[in-house]
Amino acid sequence: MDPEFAATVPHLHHRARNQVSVQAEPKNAAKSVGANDRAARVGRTAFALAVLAAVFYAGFILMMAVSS
Amino acid sequence: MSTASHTTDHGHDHDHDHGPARGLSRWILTTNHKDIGTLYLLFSLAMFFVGGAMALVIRAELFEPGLQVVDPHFFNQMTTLHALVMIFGAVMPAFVGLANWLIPMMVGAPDMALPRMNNWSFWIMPFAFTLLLSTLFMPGGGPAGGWTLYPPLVLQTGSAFPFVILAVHMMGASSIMGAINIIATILNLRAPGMTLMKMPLFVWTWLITAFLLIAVMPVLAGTVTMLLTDKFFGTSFFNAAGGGDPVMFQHIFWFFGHPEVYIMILPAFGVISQIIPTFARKPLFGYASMVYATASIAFLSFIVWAHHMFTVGMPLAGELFFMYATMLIAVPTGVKVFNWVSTMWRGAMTFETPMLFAIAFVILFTIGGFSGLMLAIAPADFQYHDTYFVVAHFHYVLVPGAVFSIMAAAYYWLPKWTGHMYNEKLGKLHFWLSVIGVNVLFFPQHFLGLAGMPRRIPDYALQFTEFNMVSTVGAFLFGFSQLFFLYNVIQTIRGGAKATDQVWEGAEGLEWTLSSPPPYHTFTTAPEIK
Ligand code: HEM
Ligand SMILES: [Cu+2]
Repeated sequence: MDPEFAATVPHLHHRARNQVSVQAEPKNAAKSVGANDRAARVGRTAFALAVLAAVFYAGFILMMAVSS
Repeated sequence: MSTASHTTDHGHDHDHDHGPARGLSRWILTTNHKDIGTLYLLFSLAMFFVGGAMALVIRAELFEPGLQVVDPHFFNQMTTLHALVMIFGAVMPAFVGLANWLIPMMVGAPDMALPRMNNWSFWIMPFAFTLLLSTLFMPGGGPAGGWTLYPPLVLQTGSAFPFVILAVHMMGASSIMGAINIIATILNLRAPGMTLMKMPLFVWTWLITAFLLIAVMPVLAGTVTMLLTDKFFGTSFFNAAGGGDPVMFQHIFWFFGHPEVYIMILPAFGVISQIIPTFARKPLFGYASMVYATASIAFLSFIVWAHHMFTVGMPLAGELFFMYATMLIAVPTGVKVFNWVSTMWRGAMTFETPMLFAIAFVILFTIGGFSGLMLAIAPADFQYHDTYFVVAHFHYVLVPGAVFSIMAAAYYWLPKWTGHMYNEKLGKLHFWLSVIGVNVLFFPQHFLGLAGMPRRIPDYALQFTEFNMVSTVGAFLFGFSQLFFLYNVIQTIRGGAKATDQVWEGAEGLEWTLSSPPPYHTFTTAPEIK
């Protein structure tokens, strides 16, 4: 396994509760690849999209509240 | 590399290639995209039969004029729940299941980008649908005002009302999380060299669909929240007596609702664009134009919503705008149909079950597109609106459209997923019975609608009897033939002839380079993209 490539997938890095015990590599192997690694990018993408969804939800209600 | 003790007889051939956990906890706690894909697909299959049973209640009642089988209030609950179950429980989860299984394998990613959220997105669904279906047993029964939940009618729902709203919110949350996960995966986890314009079309159509979901599911959630506050907290968003406007609900609902119909068809376009090249043994004709057409359809889907409301009394400029905007969608849709046909043109075609379903899709979906164009003509829609013609239209695009594409996908990828070939004879039998059944079921509904039979009614005038009888016979034939599908799927999961890695002679793409079935974890090291 390439730890950097698989950085965003937690169950590849540490033992899940439901999985047989195998220590693959140090727990924080995924964290060590720098600020701009894929896990951080995934986090930023997900956050931006969640904000977008929240804006659409609240936006429509507010628009209706103001206009009626 | 592995240093810890092996507590089970689990074979570990190399570093960390662990298999699934055992027993039920594998499924409850899983964060593996393949397991979650399987869960979604099985859930969808179950809902397909639940929704199908409701449809058969509807068709049984409509076999003859008069009231025979159920009382009108229960009939209305059946039409409402049939739609909600099929849309949110069968079609959407099936595509999310396909996305989970296929997108990581198609772009060369080790899993979905947010595996733990993925588990949550799925496990909300069984609770949402248990809640929704349990409303049937509440005082006053389940929702009966139609899946469109128009006020003021929907506010007459009994005790079930807040539970229906909560169930809709839960489905919405699940879809939004699923969409975020899909976008984050496609944008961030592609293997090096997998540029956007090299992605398989299924991945492209899902990327665009996921953006539609993020834009409109919150709008649905918002508008049902407003219904809730209108009912319980003294607001009057949609209550004319308090200064609100019930027609406003329709505008907001369809701002969600029209993109929603494309959410159900764009991934289908993606599936068909994968299958036809395989069995025509030619690359897809017009790949780039397919991508642009998908994006154009998605964009246009936001500016056509009021074609569902031509009869509410809009200003003339509104009628015209929404009429022409709607007609514009036929252009990118036509590009797609042209490309599929051109892919088949002079191809070395064979007609295995997935290809049969794909070809039927192209023909029958197009019939639905044409009736859509007829409905888009505002003055004509005054005649067709709220008749069986609309029912015929959307069932043509949804059943031999979206549902056939899901069946095509199931037959196409089942050998990859399970490692076994399905029974081809049984698959073909399923196909022919389905394609005959679906046309006997829905084609006569065009005539009923043109003759003026209204939708969502348990009884009708005598002159509509013959076509209704034919339609009901088709419904039972179609419903019955799905049992062959169920049997074939179960048998394929349990065993059968070994499938090769490539499975289909003409299949191309990363998923076909993996073994059948693929190992539990795939592409933990980036694949080589040529
Ligand atoms: C060529 C593209 C299409 C056009 C021009 C079109 C046009 C229309 C129009 C004008 C209506 C409203 C009819 C009325 O209520 O009087 C309608 C209804 C509907 N369409 Fe389409 N449509 C198209 C494609 C699709 C697709 C691809 C789907 C789904 C996969 C779809 C699903 C529906 C549904 C579900 C309704 C009825 C909603 C309801 O009232 O319950 N349509 N369509
Ligand atoms: Cu529409």
